[in-house]
Amino acid sequence: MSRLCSELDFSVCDGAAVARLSGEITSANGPRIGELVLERLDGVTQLRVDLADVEYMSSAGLRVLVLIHRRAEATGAKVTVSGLKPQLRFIMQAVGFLDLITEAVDESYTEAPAHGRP
Amino acid sequence: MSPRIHGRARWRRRLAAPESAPTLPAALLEPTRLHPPGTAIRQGAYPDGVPDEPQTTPWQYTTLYAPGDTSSLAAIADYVLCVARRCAVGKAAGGRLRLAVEELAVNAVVHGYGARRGWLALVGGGDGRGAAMVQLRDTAPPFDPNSVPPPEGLARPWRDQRVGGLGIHLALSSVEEYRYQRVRGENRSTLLVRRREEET
Repeated sequence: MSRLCSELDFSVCDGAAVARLSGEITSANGPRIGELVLERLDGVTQLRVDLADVEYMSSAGLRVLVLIHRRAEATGAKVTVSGLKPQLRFIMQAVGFLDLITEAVDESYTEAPAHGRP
Repeated sequence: MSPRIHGRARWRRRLAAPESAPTLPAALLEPTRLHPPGTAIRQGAYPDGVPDEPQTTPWQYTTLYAPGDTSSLAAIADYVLCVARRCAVGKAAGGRLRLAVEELAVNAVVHGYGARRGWLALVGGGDGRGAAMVQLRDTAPPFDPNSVPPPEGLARPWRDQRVGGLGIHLALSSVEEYRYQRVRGENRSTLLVRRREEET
């Protein structure tokens, strides 16, 4: 796991990548975090976005998720999201993303049927 | 007679203004009242350390003046969360208030001021009965967030999702009450949150 910036650690192994975000994702750092992740998605077939250590996220963080999912759809990669705290659930619920994301409920990428997409 | 709001010089020390930032517009220096005229307001300085005890009467902090760019977001967050703690609305409601203020502030900076440099002014307080309030003021061109229609197609697939445009929707969804006013060349957004039943 390499630290790309103070709010982002990233690792990739055999096409399976983990982007671990932490701290606060705001308009001040969201665009940079999005760039750093997108730059590393070539060849990735499976990406888990771990938000367990994210204390706060604004719409800038949602933009990052949209960009990641768009890229993944274009390349056929599978994206799961894990570690949703109540604040993150609230904002994702408000914009309808809870129905779009595939939620990983544990480290083995198991999908949560409640919000998972078939 | 409304009380004078002090503390500008103090905040100028805390928030180093960019050299190119213009002088604070006179309009933003006018006092903000969060409560109806005639209400006795306890005026409090924004604390440097641990916030003081929750208040049981209407009150408001001194004004925070912040340069209109995203480098001010951390200071704005500190201020708003301090207001929420003093109102004892809980972490979740405090987070919602922070989110709403931040989204509107970013919108004013990015779309209101644009390439111009401007200022934001915030006043926070409470009604002493469990509501936390913040008024955000800017001198950007008129913009009423209520005029923005809800984003369409939120349930669309990712490829059809808009990359932006969610901030205003999030802001208005996050608060219990929102009021917009255009007064003397200022946009004034007043936001209010209370603890929600599911947040107890």
